[in-house]
Amino acid sequence: MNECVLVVDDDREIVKAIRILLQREGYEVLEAYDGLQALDILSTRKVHLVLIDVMMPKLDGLSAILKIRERKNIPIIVLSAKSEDTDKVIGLSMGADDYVSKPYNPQELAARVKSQLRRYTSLGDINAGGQEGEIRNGRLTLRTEEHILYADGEPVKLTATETKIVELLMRNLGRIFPAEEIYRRVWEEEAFASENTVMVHIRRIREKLEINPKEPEYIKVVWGIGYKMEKKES
Amino acid sequence: MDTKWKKRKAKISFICYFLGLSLLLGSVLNIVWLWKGEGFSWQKLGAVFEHELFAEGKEDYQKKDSFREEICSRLEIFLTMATGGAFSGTYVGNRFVPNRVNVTLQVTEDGSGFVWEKGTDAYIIGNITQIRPEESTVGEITDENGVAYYDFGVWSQDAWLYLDNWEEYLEKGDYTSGEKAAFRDQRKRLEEEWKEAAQEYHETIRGDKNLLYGIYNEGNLLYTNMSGNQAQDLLNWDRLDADLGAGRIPALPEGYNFLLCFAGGKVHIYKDGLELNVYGDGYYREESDWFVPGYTNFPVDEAYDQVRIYMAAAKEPVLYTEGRYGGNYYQLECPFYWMSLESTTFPAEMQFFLILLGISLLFLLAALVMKKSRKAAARAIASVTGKLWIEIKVLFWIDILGLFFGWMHLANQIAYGYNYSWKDKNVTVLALILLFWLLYLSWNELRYLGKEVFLQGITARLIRLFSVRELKLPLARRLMRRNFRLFLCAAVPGGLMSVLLVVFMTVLSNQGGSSYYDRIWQRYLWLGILLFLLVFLLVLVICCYMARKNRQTVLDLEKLTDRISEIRDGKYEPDPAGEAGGKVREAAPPSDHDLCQAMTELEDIRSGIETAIEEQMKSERMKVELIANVSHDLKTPLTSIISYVQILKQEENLPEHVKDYVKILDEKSQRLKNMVQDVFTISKAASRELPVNIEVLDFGKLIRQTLADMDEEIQTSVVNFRTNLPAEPVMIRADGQRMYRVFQNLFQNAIKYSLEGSRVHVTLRQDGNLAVASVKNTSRMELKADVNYAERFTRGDESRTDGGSGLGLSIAQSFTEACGGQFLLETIADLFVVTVSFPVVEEER
Repeated sequence: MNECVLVVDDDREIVKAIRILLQREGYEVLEAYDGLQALDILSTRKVHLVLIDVMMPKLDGLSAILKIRERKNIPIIVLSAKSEDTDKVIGLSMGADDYVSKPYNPQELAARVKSQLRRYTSLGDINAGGQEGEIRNGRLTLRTEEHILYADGEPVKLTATETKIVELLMRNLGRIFPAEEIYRRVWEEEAFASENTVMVHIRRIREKLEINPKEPEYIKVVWGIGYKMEKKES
Repeated sequence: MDTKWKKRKAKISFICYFLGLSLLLGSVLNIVWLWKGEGFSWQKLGAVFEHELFAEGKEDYQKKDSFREEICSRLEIFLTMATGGAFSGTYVGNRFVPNRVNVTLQVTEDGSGFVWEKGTDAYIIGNITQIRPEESTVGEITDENGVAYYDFGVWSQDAWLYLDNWEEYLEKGDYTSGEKAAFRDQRKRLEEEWKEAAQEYHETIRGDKNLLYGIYNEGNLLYTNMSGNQAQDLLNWDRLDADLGAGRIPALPEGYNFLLCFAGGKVHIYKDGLELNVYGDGYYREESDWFVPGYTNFPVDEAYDQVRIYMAAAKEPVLYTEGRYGGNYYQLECPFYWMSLESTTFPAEMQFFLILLGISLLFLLAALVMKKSRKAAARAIASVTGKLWIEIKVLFWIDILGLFFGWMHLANQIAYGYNYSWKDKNVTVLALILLFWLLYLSWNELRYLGKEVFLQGITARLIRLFSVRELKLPLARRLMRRNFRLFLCAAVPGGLMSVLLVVFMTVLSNQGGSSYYDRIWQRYLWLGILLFLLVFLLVLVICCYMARKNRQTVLDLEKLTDRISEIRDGKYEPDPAGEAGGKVREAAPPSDHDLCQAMTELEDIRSGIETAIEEQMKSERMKVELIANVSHDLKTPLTSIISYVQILKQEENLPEHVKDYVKILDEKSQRLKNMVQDVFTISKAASRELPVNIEVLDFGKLIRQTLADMDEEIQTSVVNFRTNLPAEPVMIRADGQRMYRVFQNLFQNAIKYSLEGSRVHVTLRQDGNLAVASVKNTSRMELKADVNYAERFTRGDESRTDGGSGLGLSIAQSFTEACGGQFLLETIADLFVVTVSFPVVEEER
């Protein structure tokens, strides 16, 4: 059975575009044009993921999220024209799992939907409890014994050096590493002109594991200081 | 309501405190006073408690010291009267006051002469036998050592004539028989005088029947105030001797309970049918009750063996009045009556004050209960009294102390309380209570106001008037100092002058003649000096007034300069930060201040700037809001466009040319998206609403990271990058994310607009405490000198056909400034130079 996605937006064209996009990816798509309608559908149909706009008539997105969260634990992605950091924080704190600002990149949206659904459906039970030899951070899981990184449960193809970098960052979530230190610990050589080398690797890693490498969520550059892996809630 | 009650409570508690302490002081002082007067004894204390409450008390006046003294002194006088001794008296009004002439003649310590005392006078004379009768003045008398004594009057001639043994001196003296006869005559005359005086005295006191007396000598009844029958019944020489000899109590008239008999040089005293032990162990001492002859160390000579004195005192004395019909009547002295009157009030009075003491303690208890409220009242009182000048208080205290020493005799009264009237005592007690409260006020003030007490006064005011301590502005300090010098110029010469003048005049008036004209001259001079002093005082007052005005102006000047600095520093708010309660700064000083106009105008300028800036901010905000709204409204259709372009792109069966169109659509829609985002960002930055996250970071590393991040773009571009970045860290304070965007834009710009094959120079150097980063590139197009390239939507390429939004440099500038850095753009011919500088943070780690 295909996963069912509920798309809620007062702009019917956008809903339709998303429907086409997601149907191509093989999802069953339900449509709603305001918050109340969305709640109606949720109460009658089995839905695996909700894509919801913030500004809508009758019942706005944030209130709808609060209502949904009263009963359901399904992933919710907020879709909003507000792109400020504060708006994102509000959305996430209301109970949304992800936040995509308009105008969105269709591929990115599809990737995020896929990521959330994978984590919800196939990895739900794994997420429930940590396992030995695993470091988990958001959608990333590092199996330390095998030295394999999984994103949304799928292994990410990384080179040996990249794996070492990711391991270093994963083991020290939130800590900022200057390029010299990364170089010394990964290459095990004295650092010289390390900035470029490290940056190139970081960029490649980002391309492999971030949904949108231009706006990375996990591996971040702390400009003028170093690099770090952002700590995410599971 | 609550505060009202609190105030009332404070008042009540303080009144309780005041009454309590005042009454306590008054009653304790009175009690001490009374006991001192009475002589304390437990019996008397018992009598006070046994005494019926509020009833008039009766106490035996005969137990009082004053009674005993009266009796003893009467006895002394009666003895003198009995033997016809030296006796005189003076009339005070119509009352004859006896003055027993007490004459002694003693050899001086060195034996060279005699000390003669007569009454209160004492004289030293050489040889008594040199004195001749009728010699009015003896003149100079020289003793053996050649020391001269002077004789001062006519008295010396009869010096020894006053003595009982005058005849011895008469024999001893080198007198002729004529002279001796003259002395004898003189003595006789004296004796006559004394007898007259004694008679006179007897006449005066005989009417007071509170004391009955009889005076005998050699069997004759000389004086008595008893009427005939009474005298015959009671006074009988033989019977008295017989009674005394047998140890019986002599008979007393009815209503009399005290009897003193003098017989055979001894005194017997009977009271209420019992004989008192007069002499104790036989020696007279300071504490002995009766000062009468008969002690071993206080004997009388044989002349008194034949004297008998009978004195009976009434049990309850009354006031005797003598009518002199045809003349006027007068009240007799009757000292016992007054004594009995006084003594009857003692227990009642004592009781009264003891009760008062109790009441005062009750008040004090109440005050103690309301201690907290009393403190509030005391504080309020201190704040009122604190307003008085300290100089006045000091003068007052000096005065009070002086007065207090003047009250020494009042203090004496407290110590030896008898014989002083009610009025004096009350005045003293009241004065002491007043003194206590004055002390309390001073203490209270010191307690609650502390140092402030000393700040309230002319001296402190003068010091404050000329103090430069709180002035910051050098000009203000200078002005204040000038003020002070001016004041000194007036005060010092004037003060010296007035002191000199007064001293000069004092000397002059002491030495100058006292003729009429001299006095006139002096008077005019004094008047002149007074005038001078007045003028001097006036000058001082004017000086102080002007100094105050000047100080006001100086303070205003400080305020004005402060305000100017504030405005310069960009503080336009009417209420400067830090002032509590949102109190609005006074817009302008009162109109009588010198700088009022300047300050008002400055205030106008300030409010003008404030309004202008507010307006500007408002329009800026509105612009931002507009742009935000517009960009939001643009986003929604843009989302659809992008979505459907994406769908179109994935359509497989499209003809090639349509695919081409879709590609163009895709590119332009992406660009539109970027532009919308940039516009939104720039408008936020321009309105200073851009949130920045400032942290300490390495400027060099930031540039290196940015270069590394853009490595791909740089490698594929037509330009070469040359970098000159220091290896050691250059720490600055900035938002890394924003600064990344700045350099990203700068580098993209350089890549986009540089001449093919040219070099882009990226350098960072430390210039003093500034970290200066620069990006230099050679423009492909000709740069126009008069174009500001950082201006929004300005591009080197007027046709606007390239991919940029025209906002790159503008965003870079806004972000740099938002982080606290400086963004400078220069064009030198075709060289395009951008410098970004930040203050270097001294490394702490």
